[in-house]
Amino acid sequence: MSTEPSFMTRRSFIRTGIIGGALATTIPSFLDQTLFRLDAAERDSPLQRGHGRDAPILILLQLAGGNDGLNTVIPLENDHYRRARPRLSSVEATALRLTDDIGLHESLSGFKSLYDDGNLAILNGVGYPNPNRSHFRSTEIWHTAQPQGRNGEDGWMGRYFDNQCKGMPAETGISLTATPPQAFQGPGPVGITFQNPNQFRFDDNAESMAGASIGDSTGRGRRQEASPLHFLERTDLDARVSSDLLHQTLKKTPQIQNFPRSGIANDLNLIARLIGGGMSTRIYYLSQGGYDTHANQMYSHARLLQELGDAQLAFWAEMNRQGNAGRVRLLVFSEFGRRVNENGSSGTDHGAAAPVFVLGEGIRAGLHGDLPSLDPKDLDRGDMAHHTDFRQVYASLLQQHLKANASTVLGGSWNLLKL
Amino acid sequence: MARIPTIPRRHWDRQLAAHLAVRAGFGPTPSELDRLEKMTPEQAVDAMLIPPPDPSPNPFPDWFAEPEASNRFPNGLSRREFQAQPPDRKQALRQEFNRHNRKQLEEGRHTWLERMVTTSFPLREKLTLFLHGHFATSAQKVQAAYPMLSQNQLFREKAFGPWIDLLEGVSKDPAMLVYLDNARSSKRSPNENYAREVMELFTLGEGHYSEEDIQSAARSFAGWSIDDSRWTFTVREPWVDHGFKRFMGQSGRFDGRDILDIILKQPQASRFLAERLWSFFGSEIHNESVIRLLDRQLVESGYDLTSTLRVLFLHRDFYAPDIIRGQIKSPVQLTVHLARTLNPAFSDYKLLSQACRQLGQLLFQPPSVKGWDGGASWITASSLALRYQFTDRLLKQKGAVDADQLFPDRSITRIQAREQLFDHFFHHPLREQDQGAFDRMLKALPPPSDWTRNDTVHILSSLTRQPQFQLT
Repeated sequence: MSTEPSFMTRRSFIRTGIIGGALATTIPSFLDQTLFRLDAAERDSPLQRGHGRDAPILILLQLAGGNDGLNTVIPLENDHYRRARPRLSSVEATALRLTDDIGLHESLSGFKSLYDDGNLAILNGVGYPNPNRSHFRSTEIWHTAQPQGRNGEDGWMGRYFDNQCKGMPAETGISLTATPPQAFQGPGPVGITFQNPNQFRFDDNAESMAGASIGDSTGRGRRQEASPLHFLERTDLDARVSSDLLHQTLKKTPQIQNFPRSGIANDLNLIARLIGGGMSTRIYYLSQGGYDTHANQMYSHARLLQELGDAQLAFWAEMNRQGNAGRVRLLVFSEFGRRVNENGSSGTDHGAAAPVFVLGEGIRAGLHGDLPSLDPKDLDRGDMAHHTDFRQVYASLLQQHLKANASTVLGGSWNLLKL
Repeated sequence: MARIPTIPRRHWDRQLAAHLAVRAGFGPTPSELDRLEKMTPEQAVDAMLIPPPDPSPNPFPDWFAEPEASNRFPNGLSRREFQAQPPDRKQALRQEFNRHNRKQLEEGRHTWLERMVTTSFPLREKLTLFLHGHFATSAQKVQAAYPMLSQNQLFREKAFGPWIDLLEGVSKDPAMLVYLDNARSSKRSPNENYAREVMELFTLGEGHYSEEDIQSAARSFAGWSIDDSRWTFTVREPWVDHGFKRFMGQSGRFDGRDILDIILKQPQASRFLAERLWSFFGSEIHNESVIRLLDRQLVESGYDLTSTLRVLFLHRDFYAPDIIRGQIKSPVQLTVHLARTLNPAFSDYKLLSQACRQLGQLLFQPPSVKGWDGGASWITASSLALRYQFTDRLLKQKGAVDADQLFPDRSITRIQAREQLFDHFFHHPLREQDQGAFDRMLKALPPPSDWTRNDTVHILSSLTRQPQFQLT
């Protein structure tokens, strides 16, 4: 499916759906202008309009709360580690060995199997200079890729949409979250956020009055500068079109068997069906919460990692079955790692550098970069120091996978990683 | 006190009065609006700010006052006694206890929503809601109803300040002590979670303290904990760190209260609160001159919120055209406003609570310690769909729409009916470019004298699907 049908859908939808019923007699002239502009923007788009079957897809998965990277990718036979974590280092005994020095948490058997099959790259020691230990600020930094920026910056995906996807429909980006991720915030109106497709329905379009006052749906100007009314009208229009496409796609895509049940698994299941159904979405964002393990983390951390690994295993099996594994990359990141020393409550406080994971078929699998030193003299205020900037990871994904210009999106130039 | 550029008396009209009522409360009924419109701006602001003689007709559920309500463990056991139970028994007790607590918590939501809909002193409830988002604490971690409702009562009682009393109350509040882990913080291994958030989110904002300040604050709060068997504050003396601490350029044998006092002496503390108040009651659009006035008023009044909010509600800029109807309704504002303007006697609080849950504002369960982001983040593709679905369900509830009450005089024209409806639910006329479509819809119906209940529900359903209905 090319993206053209979605424009057709959009056009016919606006005419027959939103302006349906009592309003059909008067299509406001600016709506025609909007459609005209969408078409023009599409013609001018610098991006090769991808065919639905081969366009690259990027999935961003945030482990929200700050994943304890040190108990995820675990140093083996390391005295500094054992001393810093008298209680929490017990996970070492059962770790799934990758090399003589490094093992994965035993709950990540799913990751281990993807690693063995050559579909998982583990990037150690990823962070950014002057790490911020606030959840919210650090999340903002990862979402905007602007550690120096002021609060409220556009997201890196928002800038990608603006630079590389002009004229693309709103559902080019889909976020399965309660609120839109800052990564999607940008000058353009791209990005649809919903949690549950069953609730994402507009049952009686004919009664809607929104069509009477739909604004310029190409949304010139930044979201925060546009008036709230414009924003509502635009969201209303985008939502109706996307909801329609989503349900059409799901209707023709069968349920996937043998998927585990957890929040993260349900989200990946939905994404797998949308990819299989040919939805034109390029970027998906989802989040798994609960990683802020200040107290008694042994059990809760193990459960989270189990859900994460099992969901990934099922997702990639489905991607393989569909033949889509080669065009999908999935980035797993967290806003920060956790303090090297455990605290007095059998938990860990906010830290800095941590591993990130990139998954997909054809990736250069294995371990990238060393685990940062845990020697107390090498720590930065008790935290591991980073040796790889997260923007190198972003730049590599933009350039190598999305075929986008990384320096336009991120600003500056970054040494690419061999992913 | 600095001169406030107040809203001139001659500008005061029905729309400005409605704006005051929706921001300082949850929205006026037509008779409340008639009353506020006839006052001067000063009288109207005081009518919102000054508690009426009996403002709280509706206390918490009965169980809240009973002694066993504050038990932390089943059957009044202490932590140790509970841990000593055989595993099977422990699990059974815990399950039953959790089920009981979930039920109580939901009752608490209904009572609070009912209070918001029916109170004669809405500003107190609005401030309580503000404080719930500001000092966000989630039952998801606290796992009990009593401390959540007890914290809610703390917000209500101390809503108008002084701020230091509220801060100290929050720092000693059992729900907060559990939520941000201070309950288990000891001299030997201080937990930094509360120490960080009290500065980052509650008082100063990110970037106005150092990592050393966090560590010192954590040491100073160490030992502030809760009782082993009841939801009450207690100081665990062996966990207290009596040593010297350096904090924000001072040093001494500080305890938690000293830390809070030092924080509030920072110019950034009053500035931060002023910004938060303007953003909640006024607008997300920054207004430096209003914020400065609020900041100064906070300092001069010793952080008194009544006089500070009087400055805000009287300020000319609070009534600027881009401020009026420039705020996206929170789920609570949306549901409570609709319940107040429909027939409050028939409000279904279970449905209201369920709607808030689905629309992303489950009371007593904010998504994180930052509270709800608010503003545009309330609106997503699916939350907009859900908002329409919810308003339809509320309108279709038995007794919710009372056509006789909405249209006491049925001999009106369609245009008059349209104007009455918009005054009642929007508190302002329909935009000119939308009138044509709305009038065509009315024209397809019989004249107002023949409207059935279904017709009225149909009209209100269309009206609540106007994107403008999401604004306040």
